[in-house]
Amino acid sequence: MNMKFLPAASLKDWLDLLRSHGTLIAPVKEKDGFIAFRPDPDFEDITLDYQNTVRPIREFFLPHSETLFNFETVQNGFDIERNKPEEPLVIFGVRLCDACGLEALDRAFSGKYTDPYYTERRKNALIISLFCTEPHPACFCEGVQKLMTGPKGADILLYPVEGGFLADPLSEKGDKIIGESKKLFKEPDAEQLKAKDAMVEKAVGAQSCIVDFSLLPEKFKELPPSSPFWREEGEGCVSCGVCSFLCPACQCFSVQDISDGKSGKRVRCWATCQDCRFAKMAGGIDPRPEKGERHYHRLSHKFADAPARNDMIFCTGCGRCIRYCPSHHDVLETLKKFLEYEEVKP
Amino acid sequence: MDKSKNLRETAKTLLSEGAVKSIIGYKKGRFPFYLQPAIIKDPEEAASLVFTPLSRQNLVSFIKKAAKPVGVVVKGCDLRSLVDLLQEHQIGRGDVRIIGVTCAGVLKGDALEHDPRFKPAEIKDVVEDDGRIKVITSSGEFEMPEDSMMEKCRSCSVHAPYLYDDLIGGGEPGKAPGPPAYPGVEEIEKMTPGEKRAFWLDMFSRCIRCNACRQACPLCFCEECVMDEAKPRWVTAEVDPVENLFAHLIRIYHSAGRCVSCGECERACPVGIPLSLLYNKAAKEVNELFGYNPGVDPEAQPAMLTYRLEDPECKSCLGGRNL
Repeated sequence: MNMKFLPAASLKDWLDLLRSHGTLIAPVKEKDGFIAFRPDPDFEDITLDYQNTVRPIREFFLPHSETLFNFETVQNGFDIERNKPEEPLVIFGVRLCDACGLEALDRAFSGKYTDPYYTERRKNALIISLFCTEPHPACFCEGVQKLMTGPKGADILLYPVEGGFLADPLSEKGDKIIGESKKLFKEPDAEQLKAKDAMVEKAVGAQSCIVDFSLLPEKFKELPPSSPFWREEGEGCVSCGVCSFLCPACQCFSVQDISDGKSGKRVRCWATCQDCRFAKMAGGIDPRPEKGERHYHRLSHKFADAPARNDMIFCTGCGRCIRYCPSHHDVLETLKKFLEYEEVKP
Repeated sequence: MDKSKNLRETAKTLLSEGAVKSIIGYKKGRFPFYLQPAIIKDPEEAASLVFTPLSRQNLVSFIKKAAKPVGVVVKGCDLRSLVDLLQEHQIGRGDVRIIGVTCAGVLKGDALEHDPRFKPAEIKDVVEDDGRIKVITSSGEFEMPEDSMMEKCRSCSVHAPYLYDDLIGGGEPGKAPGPPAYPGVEEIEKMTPGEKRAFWLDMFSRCIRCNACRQACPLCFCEECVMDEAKPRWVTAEVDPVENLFAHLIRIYHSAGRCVSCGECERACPVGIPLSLLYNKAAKEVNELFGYNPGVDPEAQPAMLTYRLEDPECKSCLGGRNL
């Protein structure tokens, strides 16, 4: 699959063509400067000047709240009506960390167990990524997933270069999409390819990763959640769950029936393992009452269980959990200290 | 005066003399533009404590779970929430050592990220210099403008704590403050009902119901929150502009007369909803109706725990008749 060059002047035409594949979703800057992915924006409202959105794109595949079906009591039981499939999605301007997050969600929702709602949306979606030229100092996508040098999760990756974009098809689907609008694309020249390589090198250099993730699975086995390390590590946490709500690779949900007794709906909502009620069971039993135990749970899931079961670390290095944590808890600092920690045996 | 140095010395003494079992303060992490809470027990750890214009977080939220007696580093504004906890008997005065710090103001959460003069990666340190906030970067020193401070700082009347056991940063002790200035509320009050509705529905369309506002609030100490109750279910966990707004309305009613306008909910909100406007509006109403200024006098009876015949709500209930 070959890289092509899309002149900046052709971007609008290309996006207009893409709109025929489904609902276009792109980053938009709101009045107060807040940047979010919005459906069907006017071209003029789309912004390319952003480090990343606060909310990752997973909400378009695993919506925060989703009605799975409506139900109604009838004479001999229930009538159930499943929600109708939606328009396919074309998401433009996705950072690689968010695109990679979909790979984690794929393993959870389209792997051994198939969730029809997620799988259908994902199958029909087209993901167009925009290379991150200036990662935030809290970013570590290269360190954890090698995303800068080995991008994945998107169908097409655009590298912003002088006068336009280098479009790299990462999937067959992406290649086909570029092929469909051949007229808009040109062959890239050597200068542009060189600029792309320099851009990648610079972006890699802007990130720092202080953790050797390969050592974590063993360490998690060694130090249980009851260790004083985790107790102390959880002390400065407010148990809000911003880390997991903003995580592109987090996937927990709870299911509620909202009903008036006769009819209602079954709703799936995001949930966070950092909530003290998350693991509580009938009878008041709670396997993880302490904040540190919940941190252990979240991090061991991402960095030990997921690689063992799903062949992938469920973290994409987007840095949101560090930037938006009310306590600015630093996941890498925690993991580094964890690897260095030696339990004092009495 | 070097506040951080002053703070470290005090903390070390308090811990080594056994006056407190733990101290809640601020420490630096890997990034010079963020501070993290530090909950220390060992006198040697006192060396990690700092106080800078990044000391935004209200540490009073951590008091309940800390080993007592606990020393807590508070700014004048944070102190108000601590006083409220004392009033509501959530903590005994003998269990808390108030380490008050004089404060010239703290930076907004995104002030450094959005400053066009430098990039976050260039920041080396953020310091207070004679009441001004300076950012030291690899490309030079920059003074931060006044509007880079949190809203509450720009109309602050509690730069120096008025109740403390230790005073860090020197200067005169503060006086019991009047009601906060409720910044921004008047502008919302001027809107028509339709404009208000449009404004808030727009803002709440961002809400992801993470509950960070509740979790970060030092006064949200209920063991069982009405938001989580399943039987009956008052609020669903759905993201829906009306449910979102309803959830916040419940919080507003529960915190009216108690909320001290510390702004922690707004600071914690990852999607930038201006929650302070809502809570400040309720606080303003309570102040206008009952003349009550929360979080000032530990001995005062909070407005919602007091009943007076002349309370204005009684008159309106009785159709304006006097008893």
